Amino acid sequence: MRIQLALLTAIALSTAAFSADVEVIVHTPDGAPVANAVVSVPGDLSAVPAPAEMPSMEQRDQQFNPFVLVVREGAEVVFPNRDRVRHHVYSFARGNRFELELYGREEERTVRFEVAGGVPIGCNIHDDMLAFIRVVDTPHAVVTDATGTARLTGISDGAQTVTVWHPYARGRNNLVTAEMADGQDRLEVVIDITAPD
Amino acid sequence: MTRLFFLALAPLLLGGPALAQDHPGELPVDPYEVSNANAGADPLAGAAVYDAFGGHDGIERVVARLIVNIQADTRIEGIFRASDWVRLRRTLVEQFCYLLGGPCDYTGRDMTSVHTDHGITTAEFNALVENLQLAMEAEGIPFRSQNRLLALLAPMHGEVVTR
Amino acid sequence: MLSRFLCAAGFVLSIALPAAANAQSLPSFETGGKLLLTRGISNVEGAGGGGIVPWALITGNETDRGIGGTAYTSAVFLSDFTVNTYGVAVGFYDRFELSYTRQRFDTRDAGAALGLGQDFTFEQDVFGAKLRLFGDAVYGQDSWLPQVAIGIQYKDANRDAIVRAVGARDDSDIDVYVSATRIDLANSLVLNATLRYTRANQNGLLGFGGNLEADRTLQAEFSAGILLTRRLLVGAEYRFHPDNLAFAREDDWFDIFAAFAINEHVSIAAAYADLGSIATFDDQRGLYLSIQAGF
Repeated sequence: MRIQLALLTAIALSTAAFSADVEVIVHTPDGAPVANAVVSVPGDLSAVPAPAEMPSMEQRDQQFNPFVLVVREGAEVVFPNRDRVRHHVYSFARGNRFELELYGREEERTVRFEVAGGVPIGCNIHDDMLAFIRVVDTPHAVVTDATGTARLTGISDGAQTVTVWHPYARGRNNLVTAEMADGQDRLEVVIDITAPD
Repeated sequence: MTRLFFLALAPLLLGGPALAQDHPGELPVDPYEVSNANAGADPLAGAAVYDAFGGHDGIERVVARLIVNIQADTRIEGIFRASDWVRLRRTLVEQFCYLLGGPCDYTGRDMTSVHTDHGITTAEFNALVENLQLAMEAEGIPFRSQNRLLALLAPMHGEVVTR
Repeated sequence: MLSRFLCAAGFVLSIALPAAANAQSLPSFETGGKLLLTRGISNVEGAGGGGIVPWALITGNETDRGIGGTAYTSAVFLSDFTVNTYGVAVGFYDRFELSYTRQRFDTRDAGAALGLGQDFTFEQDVFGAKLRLFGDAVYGQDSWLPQVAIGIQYKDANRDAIVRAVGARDDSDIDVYVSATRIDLANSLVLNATLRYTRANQNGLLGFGGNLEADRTLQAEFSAGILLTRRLLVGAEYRFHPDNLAFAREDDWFDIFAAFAINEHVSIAAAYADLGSIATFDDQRGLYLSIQAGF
């Protein structure tokens, strides 16, 4: 009886170790919330199935949407052009270079992103169009919303390193890391952002 | 119904600017003020060149050929891929007819508004001119008359080309 | 020193700032795009223009977004002389043109009569540069303003001793010119006026300056043509020439020409040229042929 109870407790405890939800709030040193930051913790891509819907970087009203998109290494991203004008989308990012000539109202073209890192996206026809795709090697990555908040689900509640990346972050590789303690379910991260020119 | 009727007449009754009407078979456009000045150039005096083009029928044939040429031209067909071809055909005919001294009014938008955001280059502008020249040639428009039209269209380069 | 430091500082800063700040730009180098005939043909000195007069048009098929080039050769079969030219030219962004042309002046029988030897040939290298200043010959239809360019040609003849023997001051020199070109589509006309500051004798083939006139003078050159079809321009050109050498009268040059664009790459021209008296041989007239290939 006591052994069964101990076993049950051990099992209960071990499953509880992989079902934590964590909230990360990102703000500048002045306290302003940072949207479009990619918050991630390490994880095993093969352990979590990829989302059913293909990630999408649309062009609408001569802007990209979303401004920051996070995708898994090896993911295919679709680039629907919802405008009536052409867009000539490209990036020079090492390992993720591409060029796509997209005609008006085109829904089908895709690009696969093989290498983890930040991929700046531009349009050769419309110089003001800019977006970023952050390619990550973990299934646990979320983009912060307007309040600077990202909710990570199904991660370990043990101690781990949280990485926060933003295209305009000061610092090496545009990211900061913060340590999350064992059992902690809420973390505030400060990141210094340079305003774009 | 009566209320709608008076609303439709309101611009005329109140003497305000004429706004673009919707046309059957065409996609709706955002409202804009209709004016022949939108055609982008001063029309020719007299109807001699309009007649040389074969009048309204002749201009319709030239525009029809121009559109066929554009659709087959890999240099520029992509610009027009998502266009409203019905509206394009109608407004091009109006524009050429008006500019050549014909009895038409141009009800399309001004050249800058039409071409903004398309990122058109000089090479693409020239490709269109070539397609127009080929269309006019195929329709037997006298060469000197062709150049009368091109003389009016060429300065629109400043408004059409943005890249 | 300060500016170099600032440059270096700027460079270092641009590396240190986040690389993700923008997506860089695709190189926008393009070829092609000009309408037929709007690069002109190549004149005997290599400049884009008419057969004997340089125009304000820039060579090559490129538009303001690219680079283009041409290669050309021409031959003029005069009563007593033959002149051949061949060369290459590059156009940058429909704004700037560089050219190199080799001209060969074959005296044929006249060479013997002149005491130089049968088929004695002179050669001259012409290095040209042209800069478009303002105006647009093609799109500026609603303005009286022509397309205006300035050009400079460095000419270097290779028979120094002979050239000086005829009384020329120098065997190499620089011509400077300004051209104004207008394509009047409403009348299907092409018009050009060029003003050249020069002391070249027979375009430089008999040296520069002379015992009659040592210095440069202003010479006017005109072209007028009618567009007959999209591919065909016919017209005439007239070049006023200085008359610097005592040993032989120099006349103005004149031709009537037809220039035909076979396609966007190849143009041919034929003309009847009258170059007047050259090295005491009068009535030098004959057929001018040229072919130009470009991209």
